[in-house]
Amino acid sequence: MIIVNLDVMMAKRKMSLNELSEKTGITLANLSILKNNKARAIRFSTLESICKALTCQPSDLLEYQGGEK
Amino acid sequence: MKNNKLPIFIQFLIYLVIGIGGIALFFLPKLYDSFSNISQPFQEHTILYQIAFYLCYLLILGILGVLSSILELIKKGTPFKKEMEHKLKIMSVLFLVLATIVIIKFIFIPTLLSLSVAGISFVVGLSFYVLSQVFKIAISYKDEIDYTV
Repeated sequence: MIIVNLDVMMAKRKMSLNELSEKTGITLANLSILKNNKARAIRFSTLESICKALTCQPSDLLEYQGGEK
Repeated sequence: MKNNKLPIFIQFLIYLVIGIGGIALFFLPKLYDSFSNISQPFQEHTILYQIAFYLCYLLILGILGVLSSILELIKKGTPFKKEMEHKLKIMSVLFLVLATIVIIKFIFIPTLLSLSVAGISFVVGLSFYVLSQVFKIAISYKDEIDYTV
């Protein structure tokens, strides 16, 4: 399964969910879905805006772990 | 569908029928006897027939109750939920049980009406099952969209 390490990156950048929401324009509900690993898919545009706001690479956010969800 | 008055009207009708049906439950033998074309009074039938009659009556009230809760979900504007799939499956089971009871009755007292009711209940039960499966797929598609960020 794919794990979204959004909370890890946010902690590294010392950024809150509200702040990230304001910077990216992504709703808090959607960011919460990502943060809690409930997302089934992620758009490139979403990934791009998060990477831009957190100044990181997609590989910093996404991680593959063996096993089913 | 949120502001549609039709589900509200249908739900009102269902509540009315459930209410009248609930009251009529206490006078069922008398109501049964009031029909002039019956072969024999209700009390003269076998106990199994009487139980089956009451069971069918209660099943129909149950079907109306579940139908009302389905309409409630439609009224709320959230029909694509696991709850809906579950309710449709319950409807399917209720209709299939109804069909089974009527078929058993048909074996002992064969009438054309029994056969028709059993056939229709069976088809409706299967239709509700198919509908529940359609909803199952629709719900998974909706989840896919809802959880795409």
